[in-house]
Amino acid sequence: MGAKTVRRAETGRSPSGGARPSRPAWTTAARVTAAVFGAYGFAWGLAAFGAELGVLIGLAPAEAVTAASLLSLLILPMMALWAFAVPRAAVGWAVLGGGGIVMMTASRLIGIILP
Amino acid sequence: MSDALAVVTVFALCGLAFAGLALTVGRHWGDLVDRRRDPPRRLVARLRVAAALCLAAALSVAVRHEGVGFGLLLWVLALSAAALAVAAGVTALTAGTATTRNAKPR
Amino acid sequence: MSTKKRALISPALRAAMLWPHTWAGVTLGGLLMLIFFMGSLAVFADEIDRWMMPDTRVGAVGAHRPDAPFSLDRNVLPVVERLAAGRGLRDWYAKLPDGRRPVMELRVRTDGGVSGGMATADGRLLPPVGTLGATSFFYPLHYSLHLRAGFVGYWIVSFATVAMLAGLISGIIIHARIFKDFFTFRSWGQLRRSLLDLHNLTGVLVLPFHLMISFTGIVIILPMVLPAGVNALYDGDVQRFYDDALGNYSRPRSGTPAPLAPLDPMLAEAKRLWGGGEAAVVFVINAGDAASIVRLNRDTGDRLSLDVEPIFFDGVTGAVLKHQRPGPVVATHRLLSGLHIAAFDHWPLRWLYFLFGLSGCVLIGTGLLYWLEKRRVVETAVVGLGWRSVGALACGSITGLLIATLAMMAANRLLPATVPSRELVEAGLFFLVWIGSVIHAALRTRRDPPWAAQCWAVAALAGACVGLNWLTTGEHPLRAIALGDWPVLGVDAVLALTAWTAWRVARRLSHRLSGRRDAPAVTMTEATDHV
Repeated sequence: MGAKTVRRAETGRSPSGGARPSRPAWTTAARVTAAVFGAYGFAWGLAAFGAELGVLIGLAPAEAVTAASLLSLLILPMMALWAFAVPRAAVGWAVLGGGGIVMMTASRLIGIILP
Repeated sequence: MSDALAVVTVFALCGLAFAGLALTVGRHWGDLVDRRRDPPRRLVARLRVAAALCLAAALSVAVRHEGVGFGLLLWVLALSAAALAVAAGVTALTAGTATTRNAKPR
Repeated sequence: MSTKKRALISPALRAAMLWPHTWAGVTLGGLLMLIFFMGSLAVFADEIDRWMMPDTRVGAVGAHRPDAPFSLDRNVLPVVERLAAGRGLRDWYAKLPDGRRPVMELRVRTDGGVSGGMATADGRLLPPVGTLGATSFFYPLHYSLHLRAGFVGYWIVSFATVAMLAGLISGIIIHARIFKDFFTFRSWGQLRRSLLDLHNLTGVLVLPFHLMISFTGIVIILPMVLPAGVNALYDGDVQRFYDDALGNYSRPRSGTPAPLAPLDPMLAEAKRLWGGGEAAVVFVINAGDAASIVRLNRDTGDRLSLDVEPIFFDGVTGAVLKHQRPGPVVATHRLLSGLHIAAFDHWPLRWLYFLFGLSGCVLIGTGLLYWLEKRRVVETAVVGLGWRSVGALACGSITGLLIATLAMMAANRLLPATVPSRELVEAGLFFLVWIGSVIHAALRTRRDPPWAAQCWAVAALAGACVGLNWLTTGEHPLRAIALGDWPVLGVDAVLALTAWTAWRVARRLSHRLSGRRDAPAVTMTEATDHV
């Protein structure tokens, strides 16, 4: 987790903010689903994109897949926690889900362009 | 150095290091040495240097005797084991006396 | 370092981390307890196997490497022929004897079905062991929950493990005074504080191990639970990815019969290619066919990495077909996997893995108990259904799990060898007893889960296990020492220690229950430290 996101959590939130049981149920649900599915989608996108990128820069396919997967696993728990730390649940969903979709699409594109 | 002796040395050096570090913590210094004042700054600095030296020595023994891979793994795990042992020791030494209990902020 | 930390971690972040930490722990704590406990047992799976399979307690005096050099052709092939019993051989493998398993383990696939067995190093087939033992029951329970279909178990375990990683990281963020409380355990006074101290101690001091073991645990099955890269580059074919990454080799049966070349020259060639080291497993694929393959895996006892360096030989000519070393990243993957599996011969490390695995159980257990105690304060008068459920879950996953494990080990010594599908009866008993103990906990949880009653059961069962091993195999501790049978002696010693600890805890709990109402659970968590 970078210092930037943390600072945002520090300043951009009222004392009552964040994922608390007292918040409406749907906010909590949004954060939990973002942490579970959003973070996994992000990791999936990174693993797919990283694998294609690795081949692009000349790694053997098995090496590229392994390296990208290891990196994704490393960030997965941090991304899941970030979904709870981000001031607004919607931002968490946008970054995790959106990032995942963008990277998946990018990986597809590289896959189509490359023979 | 025999296998067992090397392992024991690694554990002992790590234990020594953490015992020193435990004394630099105000709460344990108060319980074990002197309740009235904090540990002197010079002593804290010296204990920290001594602890770092002990840990480095433990690492060097572990790596020299077990090889880089096994040595590093043994050292990291020995750190945890030694820290747990020191925590248990501090508990045993301080939990017994009634004065300790009363002096502690609840 | 601490000033930097202060700047990095704000109170708001700390507050935000508390919710996922708490609820991931409360909901997945029981499952994680199972994973950590069975993983700790798996560290000594071979030793527990010797205890549960008395017929395999052969050559405990170190005769696993007999004076005559071990020969695949003379010692292994005849056993394979006997297991095939005249049916057409298709594939077979044999795990060769090593320092911790003095017997070889064989599995043979024929035209008429699969059969397996164990044999001594000199090729004497042993009677069926009649149990799954630790290697085939406790260990798979650790990583797959025995839910093999569609890798469902792998997914559930991996999910819980990611939650464990997130719990460790969020726990460190929440914990405000890491350095001040580094060695602090206040065993006296308030139970809640003792629980939290123990939770923090096991979480902070053993953090490197917990992070390592959780991360590497998922790493092993990563291509299965995060197949994004495999989908992108291998069209989702995991097998093809593994063949490529690990240097595996396969080819279909040709249909033309051909005899198998002598195996011992291949073994010698493999040892030469490995530059020393022993063989751990020999596979023969497409046996008796012109396209047969012999695969030899290297023993990894002398290294951290799980790189088994497979070498593939042509089964008919004996020529090397493939010997491919993994690239640097895949080698890293093998190293990380090896760190988790701990297949290396290193007794101090093995014990540390066992103890730290159990410290993970203490970490999870104290977390659950702390939640229960804290909630008890909030809900002073009436204990709600939620509290009782978590109480029953905690009880079922701490003492209940112990009871089930010990009941299975006792059943292992009590069931006669003639019981049909004996190994399945044992496994079924494990689950029945476990469910029973959870139901017992659920029914009896009023102000407290029934800790005392279940601790008495643990003590009785663990003691019974030691006695039953003596009665049914004649191997009491003194005899084990005389024979140098350290695996059995070690299992007996840990069982006896469990019995003693559980007995002391149960006695104290019963005293306290008759005296004071609350407070007993701290000794409870100490109890889990010993099993």
